[in-house]
Amino acid sequence: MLTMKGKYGLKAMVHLAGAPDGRLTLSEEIARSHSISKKFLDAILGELRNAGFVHARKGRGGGYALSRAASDIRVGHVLRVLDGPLAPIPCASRTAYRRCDDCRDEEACAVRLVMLEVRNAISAVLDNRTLAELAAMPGLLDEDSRSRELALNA
Amino acid sequence: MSAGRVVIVGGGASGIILAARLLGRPDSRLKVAIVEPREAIGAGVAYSTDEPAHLLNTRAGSMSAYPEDPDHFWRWLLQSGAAADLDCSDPFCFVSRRLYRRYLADLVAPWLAELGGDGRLQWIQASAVDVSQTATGVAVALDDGRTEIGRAAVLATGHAVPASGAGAPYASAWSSPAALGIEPADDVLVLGTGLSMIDTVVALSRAKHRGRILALSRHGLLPQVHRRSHPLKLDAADIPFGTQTSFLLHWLRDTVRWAASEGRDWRDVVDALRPHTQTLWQALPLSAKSRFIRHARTYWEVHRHRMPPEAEQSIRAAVATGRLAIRAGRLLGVEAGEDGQKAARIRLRGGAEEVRGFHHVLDGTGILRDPAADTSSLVGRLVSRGLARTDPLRLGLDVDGTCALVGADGQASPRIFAVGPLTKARFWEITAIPDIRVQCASLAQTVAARIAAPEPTREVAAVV
Repeated sequence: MLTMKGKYGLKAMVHLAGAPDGRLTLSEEIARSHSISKKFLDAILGELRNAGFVHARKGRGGGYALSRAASDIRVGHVLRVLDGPLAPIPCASRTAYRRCDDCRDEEACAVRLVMLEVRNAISAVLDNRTLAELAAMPGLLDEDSRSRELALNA
Repeated sequence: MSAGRVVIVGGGASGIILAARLLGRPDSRLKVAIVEPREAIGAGVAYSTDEPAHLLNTRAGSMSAYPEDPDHFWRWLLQSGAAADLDCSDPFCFVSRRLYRRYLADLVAPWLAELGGDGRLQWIQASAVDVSQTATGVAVALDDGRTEIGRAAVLATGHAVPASGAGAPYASAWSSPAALGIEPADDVLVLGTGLSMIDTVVALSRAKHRGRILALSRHGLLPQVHRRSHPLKLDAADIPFGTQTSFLLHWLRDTVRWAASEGRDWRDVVDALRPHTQTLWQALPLSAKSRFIRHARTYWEVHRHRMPPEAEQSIRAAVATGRLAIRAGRLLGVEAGEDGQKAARIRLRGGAEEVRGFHHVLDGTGILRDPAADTSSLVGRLVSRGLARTDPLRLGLDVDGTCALVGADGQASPRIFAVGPLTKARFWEITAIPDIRVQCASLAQTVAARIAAPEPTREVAAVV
């Protein structure tokens, strides 16, 4: 399930992917351009830093940058850090497993079994997409530019 | 139908399994030549030992040469009668490595004329000194002046071996006590406390050695022991690929804790990662790879590459009788001491520098060595000629996803490939049969397809 955390984190990463090389971006700037609460975003960026996806520098002239080329960062890898195992429903997971309250036998639950297949498809798609590819398709995730595009097409 | 000849350099386990794969292809008319200085088939670093107490470090049930037929080795054990005189009632047993060498020889027997086969496999007892590629094939130069010609070549030369002989600082832990001239009362210092050290102690114990053995390594960690495990099923969706080493280890510990809360063993988690380790490694940024090697590798290795219960018993017995001490510490230097002994300057963890005398100092520090350090070796020569290059961490040779050798110019060779431990820079876990057999299966397909493809006509016939 894509949580708010995962969605905002991915947007922040795409934002950073669009920043010029060597330039650090303030979290205020990212928060403002995607209408995310700065406090929430700072927590998200902190987790991405722990996982080694972004660099951070504090103080004057500080900010965030991707720790490696956007073409080397897979979308699915970012999402696992923020949302945990990729899964369409909580019980369709091998670890961090959460059984449904009404479930009597998860090994024989047809819904769960097909959802396990779904998540393999999810990881196949998301692990094949790099941040660079996402950054090159504005409008698909960046709501600002999509509304701009819609306005142009109107 | 593909005809043509493939020259495999190296007749250890990787070379043999690849040869069996190539020759066993249905409808194939392929011929294979294996260039190997040793006489015995399959006697690489891992399986050359004749010591019956040197066991496979993997249970028999996982040692099949064919991933699609996982019981192949187990069936061979039963059918060859070898299992009969072994205490081996189910596939969770650890048989001797020399027995596995017999299995490797049996794998290729159907094609070796010497063993009554059809002759499509040739065993060329010589050392390869150089490999060149031409527009239509490869030429492998041998140390006896001959040249073997083929349509493709595969380097299967295995682990880089530490220098040995009179000029070498330490003797190799991969030799038998007899070959090293170790007398029963001699004191021995073994550098390293991993699987090579265990082999050394097991062999010394069997040779009725009663001198003192000190095993020394940075952490003094012993490999964990095998137990029956029931690996969890982990999907790619579960695993945090691409994260920094610290994050990954944190996740691994959390997952082990979660598994323990479900009544499972940590081995179930470590073994569940096996199908994903190569992807995990490849998704690590270079900085994380180098941090992993520096800080996490030892911990990973002792959990991932475990010892059979029999070896653990032997080690415990040696420790209990005071013959063996396993310590964390550093060797600072070795000088000539009294009575022909070696004076080793040692600092044990938390202790002061001291000098101890030993009759022998053995290098059991394992398999992480610059593959091109020996410039007189085939790999060293290929690197110095620019036909191959090492990876930035100098773990192995740079290969692309199909195992084609990448040259100094960054171009993948169309005809020269590498297989096995030589490729660990790209695949990391490529030292055990369950990993190598998968690589051999796909490489055999690549090589066969490459040979079957029509010749490029515009290519200029230039010897590189």
